[in-house]
Amino acid sequence: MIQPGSTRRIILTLLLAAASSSLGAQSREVVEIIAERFTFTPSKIEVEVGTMVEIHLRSEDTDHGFRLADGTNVIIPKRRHGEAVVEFEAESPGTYRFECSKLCGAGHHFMQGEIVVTPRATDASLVR
Amino acid sequence: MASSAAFGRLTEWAEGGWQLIPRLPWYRETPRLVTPRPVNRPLRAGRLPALGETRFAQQDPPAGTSGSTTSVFGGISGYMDFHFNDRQYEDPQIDFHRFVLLFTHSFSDRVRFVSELELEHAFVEGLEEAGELELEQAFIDFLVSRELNLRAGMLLVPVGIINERHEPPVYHGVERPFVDTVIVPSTWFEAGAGIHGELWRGFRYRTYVMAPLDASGFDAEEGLRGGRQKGSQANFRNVATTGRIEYVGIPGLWAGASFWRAKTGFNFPRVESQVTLGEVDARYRVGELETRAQYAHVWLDGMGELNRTLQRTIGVGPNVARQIRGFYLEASYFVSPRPAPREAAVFVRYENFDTQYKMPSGFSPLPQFDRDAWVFGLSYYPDPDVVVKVDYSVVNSQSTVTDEPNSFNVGLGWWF
Ligand SMILES: [Cu+2]
Repeated sequence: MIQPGSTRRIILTLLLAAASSSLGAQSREVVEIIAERFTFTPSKIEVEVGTMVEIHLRSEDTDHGFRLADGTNVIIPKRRHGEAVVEFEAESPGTYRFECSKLCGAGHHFMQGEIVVTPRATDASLVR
Repeated sequence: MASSAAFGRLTEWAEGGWQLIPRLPWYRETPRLVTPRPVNRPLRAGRLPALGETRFAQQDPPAGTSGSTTSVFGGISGYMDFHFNDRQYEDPQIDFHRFVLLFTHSFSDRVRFVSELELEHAFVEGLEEAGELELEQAFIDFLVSRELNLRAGMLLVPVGIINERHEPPVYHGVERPFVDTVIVPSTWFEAGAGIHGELWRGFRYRTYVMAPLDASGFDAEEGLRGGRQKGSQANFRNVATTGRIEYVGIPGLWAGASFWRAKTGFNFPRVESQVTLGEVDARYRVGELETRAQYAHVWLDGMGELNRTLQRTIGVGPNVARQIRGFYLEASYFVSPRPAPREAAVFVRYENFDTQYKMPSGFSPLPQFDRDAWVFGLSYYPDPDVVVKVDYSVVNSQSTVTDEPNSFNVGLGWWF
């Protein structure tokens, strides 16, 4: 299903992320989410605070939406018609809910998920 | 875009509990994600470039509506289903089978409404089988947390693959599977209330109390189907409990198990009638191949007494079984896995369904209702939301006297 081009791009991004983290720069996480009536898979993403997150959203059927609670809202294009990408920095620990923002059928409200931003492991050990 | 008001809302979401949990001092540190940057990327170079951006702009909340208590009308969507059926031994028929409108409205981020209004067979006439105007769904969701949400109103019974997920482009074949018609009586909806949520990664549940089925509508050919009260001044002396758990944690896999249980004999004071339904199903997709499997089994207690009572009172015994059951297996494959309008899939489905599987003592099964079917055909998608379906369905029964009609079907379905 994943187009050869996008696979190459994700691998490249992962390599770049690995390279940058080894240099001590900000870590980067690329996540692929598949939307389909009436699920996001995966529906829960955990990242460490400070991570640059790049979420690639693809649909297996109709248009869906991806809305974060701060108002960010993108349309995930229909099957085989591209992807939506949302990029952000996970600045503070917390749980951020996301949901489908485009009415997609009887089970539209089941399409929910969350991004959990956890404290950095080193920070947590300092607290203890 | 990243105003402080917006981050204030994020804090509410992050704390959860619909602000039932008191604001604790350590939450003063506002959690935030830094200005997410959304982009829509076309799949291939050369596609209309502005499509994604245009749609994104349309979906942006209007200025001043970022507060969590603002009502937002979510628009109208719907689906239509237009059929040509050529059944053996009958004249061909053309039928605007379903015209369905969905509405949604958010009273706030946490209180939302969804409804589905369906006109079946294009025409409604009182007390006739010509057509139906059905309110299939109309409920309010109170979104409390990921684990627990409340729902009340007219609800779809959470049983099987098709009942809750029935938009024409998402299943193959012009008509819904036989098992999802005569064993699971889709579209199966009743008034009720319940809870739903996701407990841990990929495990979702929903469980409702609803109005029960009415045993006086059960019959030999279509099992429970005639017993649906459809939320219309439904008798609620007995309460049905129903639920479903499903696992959706792995891309391409959906697996679920459902139950439904209720006393159904409220129209017969002396008949102890109870119905229990158990169902398991799975869908799995790898590459362009998708497979589906479903098994449903229904246990009906008190049907001997019900058959005898109806025989005495109206002169015709419905010959309702003590157990009914059915299953199907389906495989479909995108033979042209290219972006619409060049997208097409073929499918084949085997179904086996018996509404006279086990009979109450003193009653014999009618073999014409122990049936199986092979359905095969093509789904062509000029757009992922529009499907042209062609299929042929070969139905057989155990009867040596009657012959089940085969059929050639053409359908046009769309979602908007
Ligand atoms: Cu959706």
